[in-house]
Amino acid sequence: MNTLAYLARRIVQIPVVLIVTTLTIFIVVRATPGDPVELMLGMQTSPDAVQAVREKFHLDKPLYQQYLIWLGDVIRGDLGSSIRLNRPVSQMLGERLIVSLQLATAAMLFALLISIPLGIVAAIWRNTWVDYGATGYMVLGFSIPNFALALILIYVFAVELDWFPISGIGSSTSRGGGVWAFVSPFILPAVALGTVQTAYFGRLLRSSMIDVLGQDYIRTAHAKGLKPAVVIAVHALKNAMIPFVTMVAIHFGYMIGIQITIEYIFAIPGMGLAVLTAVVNRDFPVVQGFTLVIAIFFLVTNIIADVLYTFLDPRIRY
Amino acid sequence: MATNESKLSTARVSRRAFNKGVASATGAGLALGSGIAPAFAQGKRELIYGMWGGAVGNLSPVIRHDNQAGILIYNIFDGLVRPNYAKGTIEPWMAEGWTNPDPLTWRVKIREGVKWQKGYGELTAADVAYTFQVHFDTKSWQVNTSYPQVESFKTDGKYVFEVKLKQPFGAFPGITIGYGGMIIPESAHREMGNDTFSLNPVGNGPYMLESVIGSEVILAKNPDYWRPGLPHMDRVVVRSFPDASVRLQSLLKGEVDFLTHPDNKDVPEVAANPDFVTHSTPGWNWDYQHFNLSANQDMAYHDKLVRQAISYAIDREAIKNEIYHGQATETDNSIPPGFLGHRESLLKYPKNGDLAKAKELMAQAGVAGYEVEVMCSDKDWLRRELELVAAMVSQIGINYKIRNLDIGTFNNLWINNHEDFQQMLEDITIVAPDPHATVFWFLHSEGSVSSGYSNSEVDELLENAMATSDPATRAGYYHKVVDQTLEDCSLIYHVNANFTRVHSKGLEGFEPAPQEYIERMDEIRWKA
Repeated sequence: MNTLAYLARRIVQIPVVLIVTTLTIFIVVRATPGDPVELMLGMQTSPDAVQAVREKFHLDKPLYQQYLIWLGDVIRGDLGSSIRLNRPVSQMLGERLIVSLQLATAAMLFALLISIPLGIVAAIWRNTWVDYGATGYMVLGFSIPNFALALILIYVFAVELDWFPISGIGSSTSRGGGVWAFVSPFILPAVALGTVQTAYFGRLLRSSMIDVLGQDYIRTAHAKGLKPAVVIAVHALKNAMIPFVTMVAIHFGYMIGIQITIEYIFAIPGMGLAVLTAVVNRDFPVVQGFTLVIAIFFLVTNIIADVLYTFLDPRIRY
Repeated sequence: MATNESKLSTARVSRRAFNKGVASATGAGLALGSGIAPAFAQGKRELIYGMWGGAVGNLSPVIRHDNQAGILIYNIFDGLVRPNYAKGTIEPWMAEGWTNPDPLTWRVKIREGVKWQKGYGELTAADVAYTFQVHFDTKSWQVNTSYPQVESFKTDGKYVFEVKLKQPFGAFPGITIGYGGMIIPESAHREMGNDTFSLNPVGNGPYMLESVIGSEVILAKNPDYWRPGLPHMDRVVVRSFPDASVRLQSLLKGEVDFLTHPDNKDVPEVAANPDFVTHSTPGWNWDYQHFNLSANQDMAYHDKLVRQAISYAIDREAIKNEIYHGQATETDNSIPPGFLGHRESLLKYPKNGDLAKAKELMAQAGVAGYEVEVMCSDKDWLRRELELVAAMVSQIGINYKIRNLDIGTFNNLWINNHEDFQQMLEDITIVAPDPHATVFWFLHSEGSVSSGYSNSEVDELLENAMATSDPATRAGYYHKVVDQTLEDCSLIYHVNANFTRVHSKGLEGFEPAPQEYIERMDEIRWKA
């Protein structure tokens, strides 16, 4: 099968995966006790008021009809409105997806900046103190929960040193103005979110590099008298990056879904916090709309990763 | 007096609280760093306000909103009346005055010359009638809370609104045109429709909505505001911070100027910071135990002697100190400070309890001990409070089996008074500035959130209080109701938790409200 045919098959699968995902979320959220209308209207509510809101959000209809109505609306581009906030889900998504993408991008940049040199030096100087130091960092990066790291970062860099603000992402009013006012609020959350990725990518690149450095063509390159730096950069790194790059693509999608704690601590109006709040409030349209978009994001990044494989390694055929 | 403002002393704040807080999963205890006043903001006419919670939405007074949205709504809209927390009275606002020519008729004179924002004309009695009609047409929550006594309403000229009631209702100013007295402009609402209006509200208050993006809301000064010279700020930026400690730290770093709901354990330290002013105000709320008296007839708690014993076993001061870090007031009754009918917060039960008396009552009831399931929601402080209370009642032989539930499941069980719960611990914020709201809804046998408690004498007193307009007479009825419920203990009250706000010392003119959803920003300003 050629790549185009493979891509076509994957794209055709997308709606099926999305239906299964949204249907699962739909059933799970509704199976959880708690009525979104009563949560919103509170205790002093007449049955008429409850019924009026239920009708507005089609909650008075059988479950299968609710799902079909939602699906029909989605196909027409309408994700509905939040029961609690009375705001269009698409509008909320638009605001929050941008913030989540910005944060994921910042965290990924941090992860790449750290992990690539770390993986390379650990592989080149394998079983030396450099390697031990790098792998020690990676173990630490894996081990430390991101909320704990976030608090440490706040304490050290915001409270004690006063280098960076605690909050301000998604705010049009961060004090100070200019590029720094926009960039600075991202730094601590990006480090907190990206540290585990630096460890993961660093380990991946280290083992991949070690593997490549043992190959015959590397020995040949050295034998040809190429400078070690050229051998590493041109011959070793290029091949070692194949699994690395595809994992980066997959993890970028993953980062969108794991931001909740960081969003909570740094008061970031991203998608994770919105979903969490919506789940607590049984705000079905928001949960479903946001889940749909997150699922699409995962699917697309996975397809991109698969395509990247074929570009980076021509031997791979689907 | 509803408020008990504390402007605090001069000791400098340490960072110890942060070190303690790092150990906590949510960042509780984040630093009270060296208080840095936002000096760069001095002289500006902008306020950055750090609010608790997450996203806000639904900014229409005719659609049910949460407390965070309430803070915005009460700055975008001026209601017909306004509670005077210092005097404990309801005062004219958009309603210049009201008369009660007969027990079933109230005539409300609307203030002349008040303009709607964004050029939507003048506020008139027609807008008031339209707003009431929208509530009834949409079957809003207010129909059951503020307007259940309303028979009909009409305008009488441009500035008089007349309401006919089904039965005399002494709480009319506080509830019908108080809690239910936020008015919308007919022209703007008709033009936009209900949902669009909630995203783009047009009010008559000191601030206009400029934008809502993510969890940040920007309010701009209403240039046509009816009170000359107000508001003082050109712009109020409201940013939501889910984590209390981060919210506080943002204030201390000067990222915000004003915040609500700091973690109670941080309050003493920030209160000692000379760069900030802390207001810790007894709130119109209760933490209380609720017995499901409509079910579980075999449970020992149906005996009022057992309930009295539980109330005597409660060390309310310990709850105040352990759970609220001193930011609360011990109470044993349903009428908090600042309400008509309030006498004292503790009328019968000692603040430290009386274990001997509790054991005596248990013996008198012939109950050696029993086990009961007590549920509470996922509010962290209530879970801890319930554990503390369970330890207290265990001393009289009662074993509280704690059942923690998420808020959705919890509300579903108790609001609908399902039979499959026995007892619960909950906190309630009282929304309407009248004791009718605090007492009738909970204690009348037909109250909408009744626990199943039924006492014909209490019902009669509540109905008499409802039918009387004279405040002194009403207060007398409420005193009797409270006395009876202290005896019956259908609900056992623990504390009125404080609402705490902290702001830069550069700000002045803020009057703290005992209501969680009211933050008046019209008179707040930077000192010259």
